[in-house]
Amino acid sequence: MLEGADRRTLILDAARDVVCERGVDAARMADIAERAGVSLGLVQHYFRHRDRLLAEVFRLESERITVRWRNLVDPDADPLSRLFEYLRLVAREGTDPSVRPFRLTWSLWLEFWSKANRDADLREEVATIYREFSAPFSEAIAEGIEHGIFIPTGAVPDVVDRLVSLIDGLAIRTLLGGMDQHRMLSLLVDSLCLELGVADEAGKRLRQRL
Amino acid sequence: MRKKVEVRREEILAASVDQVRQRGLAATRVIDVAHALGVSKALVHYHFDSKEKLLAETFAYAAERDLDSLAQAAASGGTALERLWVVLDLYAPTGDASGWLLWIDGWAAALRDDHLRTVVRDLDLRWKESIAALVRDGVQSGEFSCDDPGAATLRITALLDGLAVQQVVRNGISAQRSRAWVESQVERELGLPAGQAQRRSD
Repeated sequence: MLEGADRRTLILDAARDVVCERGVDAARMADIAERAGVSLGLVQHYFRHRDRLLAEVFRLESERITVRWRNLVDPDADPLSRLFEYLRLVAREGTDPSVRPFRLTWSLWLEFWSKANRDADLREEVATIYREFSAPFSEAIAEGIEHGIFIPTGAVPDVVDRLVSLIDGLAIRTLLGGMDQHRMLSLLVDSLCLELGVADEAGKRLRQRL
Repeated sequence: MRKKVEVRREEILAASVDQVRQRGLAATRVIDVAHALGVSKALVHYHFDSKEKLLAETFAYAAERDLDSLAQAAASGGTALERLWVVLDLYAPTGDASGWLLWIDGWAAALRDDHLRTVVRDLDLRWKESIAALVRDGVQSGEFSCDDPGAATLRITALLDGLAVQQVVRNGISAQRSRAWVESQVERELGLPAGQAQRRSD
């Protein structure tokens, strides 16, 4: 018999899968209950409103990304390597089988963006999610600047916001089929090197890892 | 109230655009459009086989008008840089969230619907191609220095798309900051000296 916390997560995972497959609008509580293999009553017990449940799905996914990155990327590696690995995870290039496929993860975020504008519960999560996503980049960039490896084109928050915007934009392009993941990663690396004033040699070595 | 028995295709599309703007693509049903027009579902279906077809064409209809402006802008006189800015301004009109909402909606819904994905992708490609062509024009005329116009276009438009998402979803980046970033991106990509990409004041 699963503990309360486990059942909650089970339901959230099922909800995430249903949202990925059908979109938020078609993800009813009954569908989620069915996918989770539990009763509708139980879902309602843990999550009184569908909107709140959905907000938590996105929130949990965001937390998992942060944890996953911490686990998969060596924290002692130099800042540039870490940034490269984060970008590689974002583009899902040549990845660990434990990492969810590109399309599934990103389709979740597209749904999130599409709904966040209209839904108050989701809007609340937006700031937190962006902050969580940006944090590893901010930390690595700040470290690199401190050690004199990076000469940024602007303030760190601006550099990070631009990078995140570029990531989102390229992901959309890749999802629509206009580009493949390798190109996405390659374009991101180029931008990263430009934004951080990465020395030619270091940039070249980085591109060799592509 | 007696229902109308005739309705033009374009009337349906216009009403559908309105419904989509209010509810989003995924949540718009044929019945919503029918009610808005005061006609029966069957009449809507007379013009559009399926909900998917209706929504794909609704998207195209909404996005198409911008593309007409695009064609005019790209063909207008002026330097490549001037024309590029007219086009980029069209791509990312500041202060108008509704256009972007439609695209963000479209991108999400397109993942699940092949018909819509084709429409969205084709429209998208037309925008990208216009911009890439202007970049190539500028390289040819000596205004720009750019090794790979395709990659430059991808990055510039990806930045614009991503910034739009941030603006619509997060409201965290001011239009001014956004514009400044696009300007510096354009400068970097096209080998322009800092500040040169700055447009005449709005």
